[in-house]
Amino acid sequence: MMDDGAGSIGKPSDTGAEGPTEMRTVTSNITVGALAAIAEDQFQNLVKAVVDVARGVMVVGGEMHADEEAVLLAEGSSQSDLWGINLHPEHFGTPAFIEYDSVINIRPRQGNRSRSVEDTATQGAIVALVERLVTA
Amino acid sequence: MLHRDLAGGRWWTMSLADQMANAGADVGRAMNAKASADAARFEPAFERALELIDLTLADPRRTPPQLKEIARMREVVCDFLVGDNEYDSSAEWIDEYFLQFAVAARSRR
Repeated sequence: MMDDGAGSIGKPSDTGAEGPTEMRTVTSNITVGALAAIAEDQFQNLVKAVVDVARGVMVVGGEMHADEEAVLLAEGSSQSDLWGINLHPEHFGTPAFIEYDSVINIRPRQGNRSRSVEDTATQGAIVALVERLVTA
Repeated sequence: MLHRDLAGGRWWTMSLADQMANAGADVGRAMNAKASADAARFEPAFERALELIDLTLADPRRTPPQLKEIARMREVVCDFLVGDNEYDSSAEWIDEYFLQFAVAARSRR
């Protein structure tokens, strides 16, 4: 099944026909092929994503994690539940598929002082969510 | 152009801390890829980093002292990633440099 598109948020391009891929909130699933297409359109080898580990949703397609974070915050997400990751479609099915690396993850008050996700339990929640949302 | 939306002008509405934090994230990815000899990840990350650094250098709001530091930073990053590391930099030092901007940028949110 392709991305359900539920809750999809269209972000109009402000650069004309060659505008960026629209951000979308994935609530059900998205195929790795669809992610590969986004990667091809944007950053060649990765897709930036922000997951909400409480709501079980993920936004993809933003040029910055902060843009995707803003989408989820506008939907009512709590910032403490949001984590920025990069998905590498060519490594689907391996640990290298998910890269924990985003400026939005720097939250000293939550004990996270780097761009990574330092809490292994949170990493586990992210892996479980991504494995549910991204299909072959 | 990889960051089409940002290059369309939005980058120049962001704070210097935000710009440096986001450029630094791609510098970090390029350094990680270089450390693991992963050319497939290195090239795009390096390209993204330089694109954001160059957009920052082209920001009309930047003052001469800021431009001097950004240009020096670009030189150090390129020297480390694709040069002979004449500045004797380390990935840890470069990462720490950018992390300070990221902390500053996020502390405002």
